[in-house]
Amino acid sequence: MKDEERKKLLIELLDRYEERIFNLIYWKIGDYEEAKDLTQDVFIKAYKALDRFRGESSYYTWLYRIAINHTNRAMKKKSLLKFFSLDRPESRSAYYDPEPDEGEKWKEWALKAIKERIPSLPEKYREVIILYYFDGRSYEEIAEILGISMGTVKSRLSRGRDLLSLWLRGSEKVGRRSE
Amino acid sequence: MNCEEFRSKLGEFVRGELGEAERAEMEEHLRVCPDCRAEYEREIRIEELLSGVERVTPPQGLRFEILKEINRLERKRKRLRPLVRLAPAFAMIFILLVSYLWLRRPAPAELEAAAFQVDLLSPRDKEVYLPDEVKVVAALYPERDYRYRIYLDGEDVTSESKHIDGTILLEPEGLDEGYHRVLVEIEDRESGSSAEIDRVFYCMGGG
Repeated sequence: MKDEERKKLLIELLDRYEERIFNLIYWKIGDYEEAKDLTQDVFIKAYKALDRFRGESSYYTWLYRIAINHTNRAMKKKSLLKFFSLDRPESRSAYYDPEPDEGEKWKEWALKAIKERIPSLPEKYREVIILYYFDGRSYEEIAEILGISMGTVKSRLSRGRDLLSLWLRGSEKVGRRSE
Repeated sequence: MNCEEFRSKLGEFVRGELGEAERAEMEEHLRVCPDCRAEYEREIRIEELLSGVERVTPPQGLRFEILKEINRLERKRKRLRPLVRLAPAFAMIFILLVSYLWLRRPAPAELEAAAFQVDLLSPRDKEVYLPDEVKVVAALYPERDYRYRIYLDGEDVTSESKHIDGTILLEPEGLDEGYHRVLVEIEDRESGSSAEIDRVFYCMGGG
């Protein structure tokens, strides 16, 4: 592949996936600056490997795999995992707890609480939640990206959602106790 | 439908992924079971919350940084390209050089063969010689470094021999009539291989 062609292809990939890859990484690690650096690494890695891309999967599956593997390696290396817990003061949303029937106010609180909680979900649940809800990928696409069966995608999604739901209920209780 | 079945299909139900018949069963169960209804409402809330998480906008300079880094890599690659083009030539020169040095290196097998090629040109085994005709000559490879000893009838006569350009020459004097034995031990210093030549000849005495 000629330099110009490669660069053109990279720009196409950036147009299509820059925001998505950034979000995937951001929600995986929960750190905006680190997500920026890792996204940059992912596209540079992809650029270097474009000649080796054999078209056995689509570009996005290929790119997502690079992103997931690279982020996992970086997380392992730098121990970026952040653990939020109900007892820890940095999980601020847990201490503010409007009643569910407070409508918009509750929703606003819960959304914030969920966002804070996602980066600390176990990896396998987090990945499918990010790809399904934030990236709008189908079960089939997620299965292909992660190299798992559709059944596993569904069960992880369900389990991840249960954990978030449990956590939300738990934080509601903590909120009420703290009042 | 019982509660367990209901909850196992709740996620799919909430996302509208069930067929008509299953959906109707789920709705019927919802109508009669307050616990599952509460569970359903929680599930709906989570689903709405997750679906409501908006995308984060990447930093403005991200694309610029990526392209800048790629341009830097390209420039580097172009600078190295002439060298990369010459790489096969460098590789070939290197291979030839290594091959040359390798071939120049005395292979132990070859040295061993060389050492065993050493032969005495004179005298031949059990041949009859007049005393003044007796010459022991061993021809070796002149470029090699040998260590040798010559014994005549068991006596070390190395000091009486000459070694010139790979040729060992011994001209014994005053030999008695009868059989004599000459033994040459040769060792190649480089390879450590050695050879031994043992010859017996008959000398006519009184010459």
